[in-house]
Amino acid sequence: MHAKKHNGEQQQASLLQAEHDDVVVNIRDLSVWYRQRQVLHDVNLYLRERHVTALIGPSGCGKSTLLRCLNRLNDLDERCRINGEVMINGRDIYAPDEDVVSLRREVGMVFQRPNPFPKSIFDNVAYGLRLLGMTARVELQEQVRQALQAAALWDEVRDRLHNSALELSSGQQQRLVIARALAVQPKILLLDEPASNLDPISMLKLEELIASLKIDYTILIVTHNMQQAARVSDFTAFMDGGELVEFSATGELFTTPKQRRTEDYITGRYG
Amino acid sequence: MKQSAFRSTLSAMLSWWRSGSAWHWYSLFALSIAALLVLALLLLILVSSAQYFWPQPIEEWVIRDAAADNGQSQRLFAYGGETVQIPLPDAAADSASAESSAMRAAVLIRYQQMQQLPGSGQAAAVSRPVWKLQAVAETDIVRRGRPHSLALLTLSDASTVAGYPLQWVRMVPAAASEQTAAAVVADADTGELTLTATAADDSEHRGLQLDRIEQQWRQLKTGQQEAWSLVLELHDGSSMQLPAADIDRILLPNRLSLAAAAQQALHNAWLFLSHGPDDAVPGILPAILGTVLLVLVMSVLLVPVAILTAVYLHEYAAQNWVTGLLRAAISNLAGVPGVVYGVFVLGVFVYGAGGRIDALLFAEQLPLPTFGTGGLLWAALALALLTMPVVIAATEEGLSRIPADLRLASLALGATRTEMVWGVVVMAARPALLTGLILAIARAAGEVAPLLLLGAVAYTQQPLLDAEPPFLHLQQPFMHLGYQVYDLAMQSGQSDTAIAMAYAATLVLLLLVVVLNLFAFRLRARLRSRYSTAPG
Repeated sequence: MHAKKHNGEQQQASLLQAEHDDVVVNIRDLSVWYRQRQVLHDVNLYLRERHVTALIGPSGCGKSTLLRCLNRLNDLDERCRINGEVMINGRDIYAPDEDVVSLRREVGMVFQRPNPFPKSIFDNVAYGLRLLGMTARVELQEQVRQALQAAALWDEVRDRLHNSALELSSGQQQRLVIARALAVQPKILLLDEPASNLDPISMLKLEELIASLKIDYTILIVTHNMQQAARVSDFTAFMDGGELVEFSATGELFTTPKQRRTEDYITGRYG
Repeated sequence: MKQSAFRSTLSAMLSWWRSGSAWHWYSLFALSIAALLVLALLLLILVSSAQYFWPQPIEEWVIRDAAADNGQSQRLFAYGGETVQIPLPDAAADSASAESSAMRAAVLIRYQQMQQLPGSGQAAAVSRPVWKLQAVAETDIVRRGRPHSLALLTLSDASTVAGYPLQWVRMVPAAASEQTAAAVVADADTGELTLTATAADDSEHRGLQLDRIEQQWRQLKTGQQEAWSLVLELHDGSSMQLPAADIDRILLPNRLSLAAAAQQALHNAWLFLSHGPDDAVPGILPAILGTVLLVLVMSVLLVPVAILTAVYLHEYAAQNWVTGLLRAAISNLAGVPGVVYGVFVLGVFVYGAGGRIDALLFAEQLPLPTFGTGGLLWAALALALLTMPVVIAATEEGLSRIPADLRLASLALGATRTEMVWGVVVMAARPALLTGLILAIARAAGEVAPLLLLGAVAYTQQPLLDAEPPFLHLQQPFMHLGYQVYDLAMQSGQSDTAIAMAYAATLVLLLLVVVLNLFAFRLRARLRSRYSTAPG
């Protein structure tokens, strides 16, 4: 299957993969070009069900690009070209007959900056549900409540569900955005530097939330904060220059990195 | 020493110049000029239209009677006007002379004249005072003055009569008069009304006090309805009896206090706003209605097309040179003169589409056109085309300010592109759309040129709105404030009254635009405060 093996860590990754039968997402030899420039080079990575996997690496190393390959958000950019295979639950999401809309419902995403819609709190969370055609008031209210509870925001907003979402603090907004993603009951959550614009307390709250979400969801989080990766994730992948340099259990990667580049990065000797 | 002082001053100036503070003052200067110009314009409009509403003094004129050669004079009650140079036959000069109609200085007056109304049926012909315009040669004026006791009465049919109030009188019913011939005379000192015996007359009289004429009138009006009348001496010396109940307002224009004059001015302004041109007090209510309806119909036509265009340009179209060219073309449409849109709509829609509609739907009324002639719908269409570029540009600007994050968030939740564009992006861009609409309304409300071709009229009796289906009559010609201004200023022979009325109409138009804009501002503020797109 893997016709080209470039280096050791990819072999190691596929070896790791063989050991588990709870792999939900499997990325194989994924390359992405942006116009003529290759931004991802033969990336191999897998996500295990109900685990948190962190993607770390310097700015511009392709972390976000990789993330967006998982819900095909890169499709929107005509200049972007993709080669390789992304399997989610054994299904090739780049297959021609793949339904992108239902894929995106399965793979929720939270962005770097809190981006609630300019609507009320309730309407934000109900947005995805309404897209699914849910109109019954009672059912909507119940689903919205559950999503807000899951995102640990319910107690703070239960009395002002119909106020503008933009009145919330940015920490609350970020949890609202997570609730919005959770409302459509995805299986996988992609978090793109979700805490980078938050104050330390909001950040800790968010990390707690991630830890609790792990019970139900498979999570891939991009972060530039290595302490955060160490705190929240079970597995960590280090990317550099569009390559996936090293991928292993988080404790292992931070204490005994196998690659020189990983070691340089996590000890701050990078660049 | 002197030179060094000069140098230090120079260097201080230079350093002030380099600090850039000068720009602070330049911008303030520019702002002041703009503000002054706006203020001057507003002041001009306000003062000029106040003249229209402010109660004018009534003058008593004595002029030489041009008709009678014997040098008899004639008394007139008149509003004095401006002095003009017009050809008038010179009564004094030799009437056979060819030069008899040389240019002479004359004063335009509006004066009261008796008009014979044909009696209906058995009723005898009655004469009643009406107001006429006339130019009086300056040489014919014997005397003019502003007597304090001259009164102006507004009657319940809104017509006005000028005259000297003489007394209150009551026609005693025939049965009563046999028993007592009595009159009520006001006590000269207190103004109290007391009953006194008088000569055997069939009427009662009451003394009249000019200072308290209004109180007396109210007292008599509420006390004994219909019974009392005011006796008025008219310009020709005859007297006239006006029932107190028929009088709407009594004014002594030559002895008004400032407060009373201001009150009367406000009253006049209200009459101006609330009456049509047919009423005795000419007003512009139909023109206000026409303007509002025109702007509303324009908005209805404009908004959907402008939104769709802006959304297509910004959300769907590939951003290449064709789109750029299209965008530039649309923006440049804003520079096309309004009258060109008028001609375009006249040719393509009125004669083309309107003619077809008439042939298909209103064939029974042909050859009288229904939609095949200028009307509210076509004028609104021309204004919609005229203001479309502004709204498209503003909407597109708003769309481009919606953060990409918001679009991605919507798509990531499984929205299709259409759901994303209409459910999130356009919703978030509504304040920008309203900004565009505000600009469009301001421009459209004042635009007259296309309306000249498309059904704006100075006067029409047919209402645009009525109780009969379809309620709003889109095909009808309409009255319009801007057109009224144009008509009054250009077509009315430059009379003072017309010019003042044009200013008054301008003021109303300005206020109307302000009101419409305030409405849109409030809507936008509500949208913004509720759903601001500002990050954080």
